[in-house]
Amino acid sequence: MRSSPSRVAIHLRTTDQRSALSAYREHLRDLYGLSGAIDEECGTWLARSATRIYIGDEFCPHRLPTTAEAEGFLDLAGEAGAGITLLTPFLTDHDLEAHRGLFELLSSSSLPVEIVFNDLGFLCFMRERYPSVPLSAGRLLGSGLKDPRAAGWGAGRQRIRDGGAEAQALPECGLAHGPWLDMLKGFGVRRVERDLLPCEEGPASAGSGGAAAPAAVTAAARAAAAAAGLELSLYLPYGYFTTGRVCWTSSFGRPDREKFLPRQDCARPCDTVSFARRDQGRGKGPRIVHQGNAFFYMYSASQVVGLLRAAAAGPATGQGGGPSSLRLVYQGYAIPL
Amino acid sequence: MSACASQGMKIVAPVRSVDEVEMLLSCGADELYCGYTPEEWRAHSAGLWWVNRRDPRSSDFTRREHLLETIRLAHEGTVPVYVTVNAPFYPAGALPYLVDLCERLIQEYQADGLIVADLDLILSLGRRLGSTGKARIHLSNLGGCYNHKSAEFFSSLGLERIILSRHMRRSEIERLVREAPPGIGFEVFALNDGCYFEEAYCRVSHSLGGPFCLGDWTNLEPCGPHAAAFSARLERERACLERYLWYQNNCGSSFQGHGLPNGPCSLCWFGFFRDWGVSAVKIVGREASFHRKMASLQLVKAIVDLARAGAGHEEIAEAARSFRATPELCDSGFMCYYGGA
Repeated sequence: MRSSPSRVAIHLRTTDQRSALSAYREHLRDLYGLSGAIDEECGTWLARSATRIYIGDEFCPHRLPTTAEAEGFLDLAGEAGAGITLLTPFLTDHDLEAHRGLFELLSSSSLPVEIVFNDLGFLCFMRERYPSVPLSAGRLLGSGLKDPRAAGWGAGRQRIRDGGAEAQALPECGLAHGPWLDMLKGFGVRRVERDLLPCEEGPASAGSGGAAAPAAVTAAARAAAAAAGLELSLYLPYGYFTTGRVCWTSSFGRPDREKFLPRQDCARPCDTVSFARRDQGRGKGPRIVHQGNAFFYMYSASQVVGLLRAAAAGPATGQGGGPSSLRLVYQGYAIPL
Repeated sequence: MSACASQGMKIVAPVRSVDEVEMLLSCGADELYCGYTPEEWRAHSAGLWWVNRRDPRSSDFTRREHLLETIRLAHEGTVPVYVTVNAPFYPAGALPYLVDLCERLIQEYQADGLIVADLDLILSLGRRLGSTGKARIHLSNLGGCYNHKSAEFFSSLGLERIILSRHMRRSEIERLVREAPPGIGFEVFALNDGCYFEEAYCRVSHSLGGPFCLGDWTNLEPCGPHAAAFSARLERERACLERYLWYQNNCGSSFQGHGLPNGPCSLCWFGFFRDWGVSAVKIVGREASFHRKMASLQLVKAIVDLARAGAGHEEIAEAARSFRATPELCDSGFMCYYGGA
């Protein structure tokens, strides 16, 4: 097993989405209508094909691939010369047992496989059973204020941008916390993943200056990860802000008494439907999207441009002076609108 | 089975006023928990963030002397007091202050332990207080423990008890308690205040306009290949979701005819909890009124007494339904913690 210096990863739900590995650039441009800004500032960088495929799910164990599905993804990754990253949610003892075959399959692959954990018990489980598999700390474990209501924060918003008292008191992502990073290193974790927070937004004007804050945040996060000897992944175009074991989407059509319970099985209706909040993204804060049991805010155009600008700026310096790569994880295909 | 099983299930009750202590002790609370937000916290939070999950204006002690008197009275009754420091996240710069505050709570104010969620705070407390042997730390349900490997991990950090999520199936609780390492106890929710999301992974703040889950669900637009099929059912399913949320929100904070509080509970499962070795059952609601706290405790105590007396599972469930006297609410299936075998 070897690590891969990936720069762009694409989260896929099925192997039928293979064209996404090279077409994500157009997908992103269509989503934001940002062709000018993206092409001018980040065109060269965006021309790269994705070199890693994310599979699985961070929120629901029923969306983890079967071993047959995982074999299909491994074949696809092999053909594309890409690595595979398995996303995992928090897991019960039953889930750990039920997906043992999947973990066995991936851990024995000759491809560059890594696993993203969002459950500390699963971290311990993996270290004990599969110590050679590279592990990444998932974004569900990162602290930080992700409430989309913080993005439209009235009078306080400008003070936050200006670096006032509120800015100093903003809950930050876990990269700012030494004990957490020390613990990850102790477990041999190589990478941390995070989102841009809703309040990590540039000025309201959408020109090139609008990307300044996200670019600075991304650069700072990258530097913090590098200082800790960790690689960094950033998701786009969605940040997650809440989830639960009760899933309204899967409750559709079920008897009332069975609607709001943790599922033992699920037909995965979220593969074909998500929900957008109609009043969001039109001057009332970021657009909000529900998919299955997870809720996301959609980055603003200036956040996306800022992120791409930071990615194009080149590697940060890691421990020992080595480069620390930044990976962007594109989820535009996994959470369709 | 948990090492704590032989001690029986304890009743953990909320307190936010000195005036409540005598009532809580006389009604059978085995442990108390509270929040404490001193004035100086504002300097570390800009007045925006809370020390724990609840609004300090309605749920916490804010004056040191009131907290000290509460602890003193509880200790007179040999009842321990735990302090919640379980906000889901903190400003990074606030961590040193919080560690100092926790140390003061334990060493100086004589609180018996802390209820903590943030891993950075847990790790920092371990470094600061671990060697003293005085800091009993319980993992808040906001800390997130769903499997026995997590229980092992938190046990290795010196935690004594894990408060489980509201959204676990009963078989998951049984297995987790059975497979957890000896020496660590488990606490489950007994009564009041549901939560739609998984608090351990919910990154919204109630301080920004209340719980997000109780907001507006009317403006949803299905997207994707099956959007049309979902649109056709949307109104009915949304109404059902809002009804469920009403139940989770203590049935509109209502009471039944005898003055007992309505809202989510796990009373029917107390016989199972006893047999599995669950250490404690928690009553939620630090901000609740004196009357609601008293009625909640009386209800839970009546069922715990049955469990302690060795009553069978069905007898306990029947008694719980009988005491609640709201079969129409119970039958909805929307008011149960730990639904699903």
